[in-house]
Amino acid sequence: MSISVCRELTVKIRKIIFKLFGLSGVYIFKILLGCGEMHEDMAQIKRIQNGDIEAFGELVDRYKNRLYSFLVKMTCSRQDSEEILQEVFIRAFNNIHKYNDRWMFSTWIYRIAINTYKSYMKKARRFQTVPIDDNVADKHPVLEGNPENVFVRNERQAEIISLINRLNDKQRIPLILRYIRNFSYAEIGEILGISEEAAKMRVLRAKKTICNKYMERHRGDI
Amino acid sequence: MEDLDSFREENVTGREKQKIERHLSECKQCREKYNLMVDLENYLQKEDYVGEMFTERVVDSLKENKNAGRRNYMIGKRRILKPVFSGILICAFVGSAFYFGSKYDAFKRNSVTEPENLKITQATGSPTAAPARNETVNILLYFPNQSAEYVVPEQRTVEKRQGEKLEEVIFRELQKGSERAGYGSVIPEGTKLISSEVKDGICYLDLSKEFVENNPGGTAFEMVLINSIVNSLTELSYIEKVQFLVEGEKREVYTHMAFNGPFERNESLIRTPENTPEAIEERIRELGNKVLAAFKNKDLQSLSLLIHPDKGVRFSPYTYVEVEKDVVISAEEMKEILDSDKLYTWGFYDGIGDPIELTFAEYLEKFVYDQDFLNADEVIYDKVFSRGNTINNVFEVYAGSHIVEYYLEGTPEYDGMDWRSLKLVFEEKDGNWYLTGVVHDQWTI
Repeated sequence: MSISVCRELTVKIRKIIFKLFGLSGVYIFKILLGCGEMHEDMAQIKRIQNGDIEAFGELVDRYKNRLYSFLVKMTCSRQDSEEILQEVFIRAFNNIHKYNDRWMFSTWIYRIAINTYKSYMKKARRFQTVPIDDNVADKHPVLEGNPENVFVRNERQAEIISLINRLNDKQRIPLILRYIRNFSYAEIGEILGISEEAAKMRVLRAKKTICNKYMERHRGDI
Repeated sequence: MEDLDSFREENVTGREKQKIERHLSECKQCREKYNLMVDLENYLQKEDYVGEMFTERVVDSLKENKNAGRRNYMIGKRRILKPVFSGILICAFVGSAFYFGSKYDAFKRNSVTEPENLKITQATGSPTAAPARNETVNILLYFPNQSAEYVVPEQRTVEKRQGEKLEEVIFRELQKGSERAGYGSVIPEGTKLISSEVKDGICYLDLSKEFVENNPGGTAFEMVLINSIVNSLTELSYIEKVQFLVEGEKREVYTHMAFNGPFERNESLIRTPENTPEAIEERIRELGNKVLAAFKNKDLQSLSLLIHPDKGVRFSPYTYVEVEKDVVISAEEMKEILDSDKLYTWGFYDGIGDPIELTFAEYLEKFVYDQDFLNADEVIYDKVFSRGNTINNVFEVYAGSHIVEYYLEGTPEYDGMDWRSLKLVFEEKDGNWYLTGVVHDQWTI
């Protein structure tokens, strides 16, 4: 709860700064925010590199839910996500000596998450029997409001999930990254090993594809 | 769309913003799109929370693995130690050769009558005739394929040491891994076979704890791992089922699957090396390139050999395959068609709606090999991609076949809309794969 409040607050501050100082102001604000986090990460990583597992635990605590949110959107399965997430942290720990502050820790760990996700999916591909769309839609129900609205909104969400799932990974991953933590295109580029421009292009294409597919489905109603 | 996007991301000036807002209030389509974007963002931004005790679980498993971590460290060191060790080993080997060499001479002098070659080749599955010396046996092993979905048989002739049971030989060979490239070993590293015992057709295989601890995990992998062992062992006529024990105890579950009862042989997971998904994929990709080369060089004689002998090949100008209307050309027709003046109606031009009336040679240039597909940006195998606005029904129409797609990305000059794709559909007949469909695709309105 506090995280979402915190994020809302950040977004609000961003908007105010944007009004006052324009776009450059927003970037400076973001960099300041990022620096604080990075500093914290670095100190912790030094401890982990010296073999402090408890310090790693703190790091896990800080990153687990954001990575989990990302993986749930990717896999549409809580169980798979948890399995992958565990693997991500184990890989991260085993490779922590390879990490250096050339990268931001957050981009580094997302990159591990994506690789782990890919290899996991490769292995599990043929054994997936549950239709994934329904799976998460059911577990993500919208509960507030009057029942009729709730039903409509759940339907809507299921549709959105299926639209996202139809994208190829090349578009899907950047799109999800973009909104999951408000990553900048530069950061997405860094995670995926592509340029900022390419990242932007892919997100835009993803949105276009989704819109087109949606329009195609609802040609009759609009 | 771009405008809408910048509007969402608040990168527009006040005036533009007003303009867009006005447009949104008028245009239902854009409003619909805009709402979709908002809902999409809201869904993606929703936070999920991992189960309780997650951190503890990770930390615990890391603590447990700390020893394993040390071992990894040792492996790092081994790189340096390796040359030293092998040096020592060679010295030892040469030394012992000298020693035993002289001994053997003495032995030979003492008993000249001893037969020199004691190797007996023995058929699979008769453990009773056990002569006192090493013998060679033929065994059939099953190894997982690359994607760990099936097991693939592999015949091997190996030495059976004196007093060794056949089960032990099989387990030892399985641990060595497959000889085929890309297959590798499957049994978790460090697993030791403590003992094996056959009672009433059930083989009790007692393995060390590494069998569980070093399992890389994954339900799928577990399944083939078990079947690799069980199918290999049940090749022996006196083994029907296999009961796994870990350090002498039955386990309730392995890591995912139930593990307390004996396993039977599972034939459904066996594939010959040519029929594994990756082998088929390789063949289809190879055939696809042959077809493309034939299109490119207008070598229709070679092409006709690749076409399905009964069904011919159907050409679709845009993604959507019209089973009844699209032109189908038989392998026979294909041989002569390049010089023919016959006009076919291949479909309708996108947008204008005029019929596409072209000879085969013209169609080939405009709707088949209209781009350098041999140098495609992406070659995609058996995957659905909806790129344009046209519905992609290729997987429904050509169910049961394999499809390779050649995709060329659009250039920024045209905002990426000049992308092209060509899908080649292959169907099986009598163990061979033949071309049955050519689906061309490009941006449609």
